[in-house]
Amino acid sequence: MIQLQGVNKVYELGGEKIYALDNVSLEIAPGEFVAVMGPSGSGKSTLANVIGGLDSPDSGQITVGDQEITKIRDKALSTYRNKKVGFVFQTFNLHSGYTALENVMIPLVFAGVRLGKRKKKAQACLQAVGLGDRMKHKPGQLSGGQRQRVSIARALANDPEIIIADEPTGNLDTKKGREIIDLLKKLNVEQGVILIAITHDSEIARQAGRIINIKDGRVS
Amino acid sequence: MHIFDYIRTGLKNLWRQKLRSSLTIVAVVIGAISVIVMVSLVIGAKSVFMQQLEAMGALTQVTVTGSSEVEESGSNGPFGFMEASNNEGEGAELNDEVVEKLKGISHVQDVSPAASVWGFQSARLDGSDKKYSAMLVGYKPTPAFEQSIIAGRNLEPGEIAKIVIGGGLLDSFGYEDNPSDILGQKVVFKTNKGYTGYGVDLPKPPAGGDQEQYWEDMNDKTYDIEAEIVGVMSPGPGDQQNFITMAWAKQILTNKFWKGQGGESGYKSEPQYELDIYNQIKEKGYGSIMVKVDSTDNVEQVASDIEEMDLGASTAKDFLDELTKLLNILGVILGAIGAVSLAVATIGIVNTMVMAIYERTREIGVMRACGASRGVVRKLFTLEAALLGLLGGLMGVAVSYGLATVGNYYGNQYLLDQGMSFSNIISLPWWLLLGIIGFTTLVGLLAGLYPAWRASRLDPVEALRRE
Repeated sequence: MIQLQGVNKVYELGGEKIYALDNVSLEIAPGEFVAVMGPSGSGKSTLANVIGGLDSPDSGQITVGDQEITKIRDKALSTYRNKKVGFVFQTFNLHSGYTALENVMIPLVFAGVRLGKRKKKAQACLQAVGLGDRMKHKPGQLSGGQRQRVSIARALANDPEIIIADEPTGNLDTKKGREIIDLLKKLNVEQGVILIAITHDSEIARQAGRIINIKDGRVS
Repeated sequence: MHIFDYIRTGLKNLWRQKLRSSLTIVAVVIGAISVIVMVSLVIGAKSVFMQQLEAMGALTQVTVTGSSEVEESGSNGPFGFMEASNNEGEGAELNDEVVEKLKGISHVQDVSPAASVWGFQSARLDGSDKKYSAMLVGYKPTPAFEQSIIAGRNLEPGEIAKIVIGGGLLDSFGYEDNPSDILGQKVVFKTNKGYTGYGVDLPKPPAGGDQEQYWEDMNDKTYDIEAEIVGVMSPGPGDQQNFITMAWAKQILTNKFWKGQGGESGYKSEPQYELDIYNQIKEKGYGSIMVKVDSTDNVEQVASDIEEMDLGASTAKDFLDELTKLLNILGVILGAIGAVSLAVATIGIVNTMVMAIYERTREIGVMRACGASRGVVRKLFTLEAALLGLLGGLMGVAVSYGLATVGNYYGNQYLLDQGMSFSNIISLPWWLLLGIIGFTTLVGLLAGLYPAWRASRLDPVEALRRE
């Protein structure tokens, strides 16, 4: 369960105050598939980032489960990100020098999982996204769709409660994009992870259980 | 996150930037080698001296001179024999009584007086005309004062007209490659004018008449004194010294002259003359006295005991202390020069890290997104920098070891040719090597602190946006 109460995020740009998030309050239930939609610059990414603990609001409160994540220190917030959240980015953000397997292992390394165990887990995650035969490939040797699958496998590595996908199909063609959405939906349904997808893609919106519209930092 | 994982990740990251890492490491290697070689040269030089002194027995020897005053103004080094001057200064006279007293000091193994023999202007090898100058030192060749020799034997006490020559004369006579061949040959000394010591049968002055001519002739006359070479000394700092027994030295240093008796000097009566002698050593004392101590541990004690007898005492330690001071200064200077290149390498590490972090900004964003805290990011990058230093230090040590082996091989050849026999001038003590490795690692770590801190402060959201 994710709860936001009066969350604000403000930027100063040339003397002007810009509200990326303006008094946002909302709730997301466990297992929900939520699509966050809105025009460019509306604050969608910011919303995702503060929920994911990648960024902190200036005021307000965010609670995930029974953990309040707004006022905690970097180490604790990082642990939250590590254990509870998985990010999937539009530009994949994979380590180009690492193999698929090594990429998926990254969150496990930070979680303190030792080599043998994390290898096994990473393999399982890659298999879950259908890349069991591409584990030793580097991102450069994979197609866009495959790369995004690796990202998803990485996001799943620590069995998170929340997956935040920021325009996950943005860099993919329609067919590949659909595959990815199907995969995400499958994971959402099968594993019960909260799926928050930021998107322009109406296809995703259709599949989602709920749509959150955001404009000028405000949620309607 | 486990320390092994830190190291594994750090190494993996360095490996991914092979070229950049290698170049940085090479700079550290050069810096490390500079410092290692410089410092070890100085260490080696000191050990070379120590070995020489040890071989000469100088480490268990105390050189005794007239008194503290004379000692300071004199030039008595540890190679006491070298500067055994006939006592012309002030202070207590060194005579047999003093010798006996010195023998009584605890831990003293043996005592031998030493006297420089003046009175010979040149020396040549019998059968050749070439003249050289030679320093003669007389001493009592008891077992405690055995010289290190490469051919023949040491002198026996009381031997007359026998000599043990040093490396200098050996080379001058041309026998440096076959010293044993010179044994049994004779060194012929030409005395100064007016010499009347050993080997001279001084004629009586004429009864009457031309005394002036007699004295003129006497004052002009030189003699040839022969000595058989019974031994050749090992090469070393004392090469210029050649040894004879104190017994013979005393004879050489005894002047004879005819002393007129009182009597009428009317041309009809015969003047009476008596042969009188003037034993220089007896009158003026020994130039110095060598005291052999039973062990290096007791040398200082014996030296201070001697000083309490109002005599001058100098040991190899004094010389070594001066030498050590000099070498230490030299070592620091050389080490500093080497350290400069290490400093430059450090700057290289900082630069490498700063550049790397700039290029890996997105990667850092991903790390943070995946749950790495600022602390983890900071530690990772600091470790990468420390690894650069560590690897540089390790390789620097390995290369230095190789260089030292080669250097010593050639160095030993050279030293052997110069007549010095012993070992490696470039020594690599374990503490130096470990110290350098530790130092370069530390330096790398420090160099990485600032860049790593900057990396940890990156905003993850911004970092992820970066291309």
